[in-house]
Amino acid sequence: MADAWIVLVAVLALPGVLPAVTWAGRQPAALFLAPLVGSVMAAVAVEFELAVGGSLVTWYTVVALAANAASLAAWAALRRRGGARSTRALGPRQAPSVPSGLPSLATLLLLAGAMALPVSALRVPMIGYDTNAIWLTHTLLVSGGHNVLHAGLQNPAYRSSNPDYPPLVPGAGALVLVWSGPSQLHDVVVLVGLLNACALGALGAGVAAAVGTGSRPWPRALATVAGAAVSAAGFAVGGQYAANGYADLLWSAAAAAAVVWGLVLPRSLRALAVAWACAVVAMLTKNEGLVAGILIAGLVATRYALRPGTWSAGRLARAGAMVALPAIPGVAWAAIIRGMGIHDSFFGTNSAEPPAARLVPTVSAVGHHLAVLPAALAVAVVGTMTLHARRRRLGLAGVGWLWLAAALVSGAIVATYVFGADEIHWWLQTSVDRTTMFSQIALLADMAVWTVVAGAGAGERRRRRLGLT
Amino acid sequence: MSLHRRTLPSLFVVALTLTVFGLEIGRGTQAVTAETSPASVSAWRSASDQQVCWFRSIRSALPRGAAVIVETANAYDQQRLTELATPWARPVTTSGRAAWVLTLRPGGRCGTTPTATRRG
Repeated sequence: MADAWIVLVAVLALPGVLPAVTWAGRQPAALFLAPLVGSVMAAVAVEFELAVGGSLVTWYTVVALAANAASLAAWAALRRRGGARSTRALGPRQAPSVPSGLPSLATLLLLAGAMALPVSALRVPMIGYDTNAIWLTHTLLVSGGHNVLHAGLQNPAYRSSNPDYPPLVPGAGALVLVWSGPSQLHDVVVLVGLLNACALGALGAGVAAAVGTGSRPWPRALATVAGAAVSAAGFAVGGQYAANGYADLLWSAAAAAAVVWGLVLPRSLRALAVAWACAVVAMLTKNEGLVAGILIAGLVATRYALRPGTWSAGRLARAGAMVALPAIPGVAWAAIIRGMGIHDSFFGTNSAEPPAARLVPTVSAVGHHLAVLPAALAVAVVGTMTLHARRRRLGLAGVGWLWLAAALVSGAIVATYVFGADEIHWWLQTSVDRTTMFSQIALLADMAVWTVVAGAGAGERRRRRLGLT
Repeated sequence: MSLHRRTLPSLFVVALTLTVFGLEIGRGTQAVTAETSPASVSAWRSASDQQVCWFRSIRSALPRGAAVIVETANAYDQQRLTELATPWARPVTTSGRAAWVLTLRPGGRCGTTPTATRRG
């Protein structure tokens, strides 16, 4: 377990910290983001290993150096402009809160503390079915270098491992094996669990930031608790998959973090950068994450680049670029894989069951795992009816963006089940508890944000009576 | 007046959110408690030790780069042996292309131990 921590901090977070701080600023989210940025670099290194040749370590060094050089240049440029550009609001509302000093440290400690118990489960050497069949197999292929990886992904012996799955977990995992030795496969599982915690930390930091910088201590404290609670609850949604090496919680939590930073918090370059980084993590982790990440990037681009009444070719082009830019690493992997003649197994053959017959059990199973939906809906309706003005004062986006993201991603997942090839009951039984994690976490995050909005009014009456506001 | 109108809804939002989060985190805590129980730890440690043992046995039984076909009764065991042979050996799916056969035999140093046989 110690080896995975060392790799998380020294191999992934250290090269990721400059890009994370440059774009996200010195805030709690940056600390959680740094290892995720490092794991994205590992995934990109796998793409070069597969497409060009060579080994993971060589390409990881090259990618990390290039990313840090680019970040250094960007940091210098931002500094020359007075350092304020990245915090500048991109619209009529205020920039997102960037707590500093003690509040920031307290947020960090509370977020980390909330995840201490679930992270403690990583000391148990659990390894899940898919972890062996997919993720560790791919990790070992990546660690074998270009020839092994290239031949392995096309080898029928590995067909059941879903060779088309994206390379973030295998890339980061192979870096652990370089450090701890190829037989220490549970260290890869621990690393995936720690990356889960980082993604949930980025999500929790986003919820905590919803309160804004000028808030008083009590609302700020409540926001921090809400952020910590959503991180802990996210782990609970992950269940056994949070600690046994499955990649589902990673893409789900990263995608939910992208939603909060990109579709809830006020528009700013920093919020956009965090949203993009989280979306890229989701896209490089699983195929569902790729679809979810692109959909979320599309919504973020719409929110940032297109406003009612201001549609023009230039703005449409800008929005298109805002989708394309974060999608490059994920789409590049899909292109490389398709170029090798590898396709996913879900749509390979025609199903014997007609789509209509598959729809009913799919909707039923998805609905069964969205037990949080009624409560989230009630909070959203009451919040929208009564707290909308306060939410606007905090500079937060309308609640519709988050719900639209959850609906679109859920729709894409339902469509996959309905038009896919596998026998539907078996498929749902073995996967729907994992494919619905994103929607569950996104809805929990929405409830947490509304709690922050509700808490932002704490003491408002008294202050108004005393003429303090 | 408008503040009064917002107080009750605010309490409703906070109370319902606290309830849902409390239930969710409570469920998660129970799961972690079960996963970290001595019985669970012991069972997982045995499985993990066996996996490491299989990993090392495969490397001592097969020459590097060997074309090997994995033959087991259980599909999951087949996947795990294929995984653990990677990237040391080169798993194949047709026996005609295999120089070695990798199977599981009861007993040996792993309890159930991978055994490699060279094909005639």
